[in-house]
Amino acid sequence: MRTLKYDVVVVGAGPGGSMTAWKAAEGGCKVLMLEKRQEIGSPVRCGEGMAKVWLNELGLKPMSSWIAHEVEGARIFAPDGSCLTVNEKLAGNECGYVINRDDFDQYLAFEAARHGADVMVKTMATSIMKDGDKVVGVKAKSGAEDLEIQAKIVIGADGFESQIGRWAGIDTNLKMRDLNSCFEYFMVDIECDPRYNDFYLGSAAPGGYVWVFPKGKDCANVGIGVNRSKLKKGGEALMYLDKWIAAHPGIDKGKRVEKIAGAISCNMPIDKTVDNGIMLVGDAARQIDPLTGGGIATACIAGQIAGRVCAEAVKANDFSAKFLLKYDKEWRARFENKLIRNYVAKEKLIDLPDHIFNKAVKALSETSLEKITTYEILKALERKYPELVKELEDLL
Amino acid sequence: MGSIMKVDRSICMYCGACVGFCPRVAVTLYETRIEFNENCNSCGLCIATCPVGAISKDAKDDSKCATGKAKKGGA
Repeated sequence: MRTLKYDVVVVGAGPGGSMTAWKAAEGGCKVLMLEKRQEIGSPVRCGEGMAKVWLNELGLKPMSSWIAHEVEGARIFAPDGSCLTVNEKLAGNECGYVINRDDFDQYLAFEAARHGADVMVKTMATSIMKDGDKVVGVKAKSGAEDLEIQAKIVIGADGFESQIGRWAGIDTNLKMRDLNSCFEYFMVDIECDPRYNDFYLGSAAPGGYVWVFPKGKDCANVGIGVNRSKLKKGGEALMYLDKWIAAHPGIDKGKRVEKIAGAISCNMPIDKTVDNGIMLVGDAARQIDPLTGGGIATACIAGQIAGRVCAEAVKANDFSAKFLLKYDKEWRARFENKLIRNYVAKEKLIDLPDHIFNKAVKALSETSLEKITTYEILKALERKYPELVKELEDLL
Repeated sequence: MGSIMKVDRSICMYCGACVGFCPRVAVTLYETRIEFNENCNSCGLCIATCPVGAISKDAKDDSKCATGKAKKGGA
């Protein structure tokens, strides 16, 4: 067995992993990033919506190589067809661009490599190595070769699977209501409004929603997330999506040219994302907006912080949980409040009946909102349907 | 107790949904192949999690099925 030595080993070359590798390498660390697939970013597992505002915050320049399409705003549809249109400024962080995730992931991974990180594809972490209560590396299989990779810090960026953290004893397990099972088609020759990312709420997608994110004039990602607590048997996410498409002739007339499957966590932020010699980033740390399912931006922000903390830890020669807690504190300061707020909203929306969605969306569409915040929404609803707000008052 | 979970590889899209939800970390995704390890108690939580319906229990071997519900992540 070959032994390799690094400051930092990053497991998973998604946006969170690549950002960490990039920033850690830039900060002077010797970094190795592992990706179990032979290609980075493929196959895609994503609806591919992303906000412009986040890109600015990340310091990433929008590039034509990974931006598929730009939208003006979002439309939220109730089961009866009532529609609330919101422009991008009001819609929060899930619209702006529709990206090509495979190209985006590759861009970030290649930047990490350009900044000095070593990258090994078709290389899978098979276990973590511990010395007492410290994580000190991972065992991996690269092609047919077994590797022992010693590292001062292991980054678990292994996505929804989130195995690295759980092997290390960090609890990232999900409850029944805290994940959505997802399926998506890329469809062409459909009728869609390329100006908007569309969201369809209600019993067509129990506990979740259907999305239509255009990637051009006549093509879009058409996908669904269904809350796990609403699923009785296998394949229901796909079944719900096919049923929804059949009820929408403008979409149904098109052709399904790609299939994408996956799952999204929608839990309260987990208690800890670091331990001695280990940090978790992105989906692996369950850093996903529980309401929208958006996780690209949070993974990238967390990755930037984690990468910087890696560099600081190497300089200080301190890889203890206490030192790495800097990362935990910083990502929470940046976006934990929003995740908690949206978790509460998600908990409420999971069980909301269709007639309430109908009333709420109708009321909101007839009001001019200054901002789409929970508070503004409740205020507007209270004016129109005071009894509705009783249903939703936990959100306050 | 061996796992009685079965994956139909012609249906599986190797998305990892079953892996991330398994409360016993008993499922592994090898690029395009799902495998259940010895920690699997055949609780079956993965079955309805699968977006495409690729997972089932081997009906011939149902006697091996865990009697209790999974402790973590269960309803």
